[in-house]
Amino acid sequence: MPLDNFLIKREHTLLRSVLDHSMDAIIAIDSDSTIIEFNRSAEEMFGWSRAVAVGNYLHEMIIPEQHRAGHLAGMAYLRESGIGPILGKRLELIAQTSAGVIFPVELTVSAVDGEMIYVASLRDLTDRKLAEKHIERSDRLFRAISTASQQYIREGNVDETFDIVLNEVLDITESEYGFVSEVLYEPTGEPYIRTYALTNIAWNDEMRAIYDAMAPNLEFKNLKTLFGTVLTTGEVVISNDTATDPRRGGLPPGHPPLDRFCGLPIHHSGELVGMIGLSNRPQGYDIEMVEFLEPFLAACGNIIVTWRADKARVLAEAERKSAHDALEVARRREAEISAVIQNSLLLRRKPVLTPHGMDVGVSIMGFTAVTGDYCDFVTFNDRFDIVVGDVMGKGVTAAMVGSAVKGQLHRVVRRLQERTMLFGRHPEPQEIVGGLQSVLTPQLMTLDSFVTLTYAAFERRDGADSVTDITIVDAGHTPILRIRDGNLPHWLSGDNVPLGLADREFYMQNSHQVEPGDVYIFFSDGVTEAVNPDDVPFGKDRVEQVSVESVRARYDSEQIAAALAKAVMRWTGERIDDDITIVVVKIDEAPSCVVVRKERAYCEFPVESSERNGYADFLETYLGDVPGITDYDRHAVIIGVTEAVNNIVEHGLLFQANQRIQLEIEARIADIQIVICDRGREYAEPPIKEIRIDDNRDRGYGWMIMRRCFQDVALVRNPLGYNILTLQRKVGSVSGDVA
Amino acid sequence: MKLISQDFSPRIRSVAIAGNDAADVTVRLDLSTVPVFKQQIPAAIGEAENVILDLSNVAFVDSSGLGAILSCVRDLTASGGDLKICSVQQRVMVMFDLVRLPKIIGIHEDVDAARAAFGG
Repeated sequence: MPLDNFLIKREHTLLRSVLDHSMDAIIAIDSDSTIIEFNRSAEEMFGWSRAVAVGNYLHEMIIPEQHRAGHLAGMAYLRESGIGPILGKRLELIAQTSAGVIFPVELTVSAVDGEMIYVASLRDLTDRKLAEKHIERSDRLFRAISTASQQYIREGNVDETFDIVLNEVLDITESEYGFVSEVLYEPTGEPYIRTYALTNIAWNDEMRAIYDAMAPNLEFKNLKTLFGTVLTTGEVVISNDTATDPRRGGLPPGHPPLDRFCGLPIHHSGELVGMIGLSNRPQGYDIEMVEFLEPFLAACGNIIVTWRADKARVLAEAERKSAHDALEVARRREAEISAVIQNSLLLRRKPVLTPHGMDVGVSIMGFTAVTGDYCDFVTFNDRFDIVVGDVMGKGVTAAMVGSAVKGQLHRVVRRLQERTMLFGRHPEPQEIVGGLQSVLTPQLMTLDSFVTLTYAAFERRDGADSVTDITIVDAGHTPILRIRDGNLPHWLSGDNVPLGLADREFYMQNSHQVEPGDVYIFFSDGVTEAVNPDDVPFGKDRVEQVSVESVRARYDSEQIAAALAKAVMRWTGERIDDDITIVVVKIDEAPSCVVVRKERAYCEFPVESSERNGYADFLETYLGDVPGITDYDRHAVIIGVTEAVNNIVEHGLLFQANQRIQLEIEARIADIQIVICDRGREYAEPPIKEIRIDDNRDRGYGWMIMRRCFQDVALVRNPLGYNILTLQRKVGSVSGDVA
Repeated sequence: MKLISQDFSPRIRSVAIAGNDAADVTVRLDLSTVPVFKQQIPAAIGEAENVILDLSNVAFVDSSGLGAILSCVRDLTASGGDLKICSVQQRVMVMFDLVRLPKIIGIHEDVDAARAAFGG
């Protein structure tokens, strides 16, 4: 073989290989557009085999109908002038496959030197175009979300906001009709929708009249429909052939046809709050589109929920205003209602548990008006907390806010306790007040209300026999009066703002040493602000004066509180017009009496009778090694607790299964205290019945036995729904001195 | 729980409350056992006028147990008889003391003392 031939053959092989392995489709044509080369990628791209393509005209094989004339004109011009404007340029055109599918391509055409041969290299742009379109759609979507959110924030008009939303979403999804709606519920629990925005498809005068009168807020309640399926299942509904879909409900006569439908649920925090319906997308709906719309649906959910909250706030304000009017009109009735709320919820006359080494007295008076005064007590093992507060304003709103504060207080304490117990301590007063503030401030701000309070914790520091410290958080309340050594008045206060004024206030506490014999007086502003007939307020000086006199007279805490309340009453000529709350704490002078014989212990047991008697063993074990108590004490405690438990099982829990009873016991120097808690029905102490032979009933002795076993029996229903029964037995007492 | 009767004379009968195991001295007369006691006591007393209730095996009596005992006393006194209690364990005695039961029912050291009190 001559060398030239050899080289030509090698070159040809090389060229063939390059052509066949090129990622791009490569097509060569001569000057009259006849295909002379058609590589493997071209075969794949266009669906023609090389054998068929070669020899045929290019324009008949891959150029769509509408561009053929242009191509032929271009080729003619090139032949005549030798000028090819497209040569060497990168162009984006459309091409056509053997099956007639049109798709975008990028191509470059080059001329082979000296010959009328043109080589085109083509690349399929379908994927890139799709990606670009996707990005563009996403851009539009996020712009739509942002526009809608801003529109809502600026105007607060949910209908207009969702009108924008609907137009965008119709455009983006190429849908013909659609609606954006809120999901509401009938009193029976059935869901229905009320549209915020919908395409006007009124097809006759009647529908136009309805639309004009109601739009955009139309309600649709038929659940046996495609949109109804979204409501009942909470899931996306796609139907690309509505005519045969078993879920369809049919359309009213005259309604434009809906061939394809897509129902998109809008969820917020797990709740179905809204729905978007779209119809007649030419290519049908698919999951890809639904996923694409996901962030958009979330944004719609946020708008709906925000709008609902705003609406609720507006309603609440309106209600508050009308409540204010009602206050003027039916003041008397409201005062009655409020008094009931206050007496039942807000005020506790006496702390449930008697704290060690201190004596607590409470005096509460509410006469002609009702305020949001409240006071409460929280007891920990070695700490006793007092909360005294006042809700700004009067009437039902204040009383309701007061009850909310009280309810939240116990929740906050409990939840904080869950955390702080991990670190072996109780929640600090500043944590409790801070927790209350976090929980209450949003609502208080909405109601334009605020709450002042004093939170004081009396605490026994490590190993001390009696209370050693008082830690105070003052949130804008009247200060606490301390009287030491019977005649040294001193006011304790802090400088925190009331709850509900600032949502980032940091509550500070301050601690003071407690000394034996100290008296602390907490009171509401009704005391200092009570005026006499000449409009002179009672004032702090008189509080000091009356309190010092009472302390010097060696009154107990109850008497000190009563004396102060009485002095205020006298000052006003028995005509006070604000509630008065006074809490007095007197620290025992002889601290030795509060020494604990044995640390408090806890036991929880099920109600079921087979396992119930475990508490008896617990008590036996606890009492077994307490020094200084008698056998009689031990027996009496077990007898009395048995009656208490039987009583709870029979009356409070009605033998209900799976309930538990909690029991705490603490043996102190002077007494043994037992607290029994259950979550059963509320029950009350019946009249005490003495045993008699001629009585023909042989039941009902339980309370009498309890009363004989314990000097103090107190039953309270707490806000969390617990019955709390507190029993105290004086150590060493026998039957004779019990009664 | 079972009741064991023993006649000392035609007029005096003792009824001991025992557990299923005769050596058990921790029997409870309470909410859970009172129904059994009430069911068995008429047969245990039978025709006897004077009954000694022997509580030596009873470790605990609650208010329902107290009620059941009082009910027996009532029935016996109505028919001219009487009931005395004997051999009371310490915890049960505390309970009786708390409710001042000794003021209305004779409570005795043991069966012999109770018999003597019945004059038999």
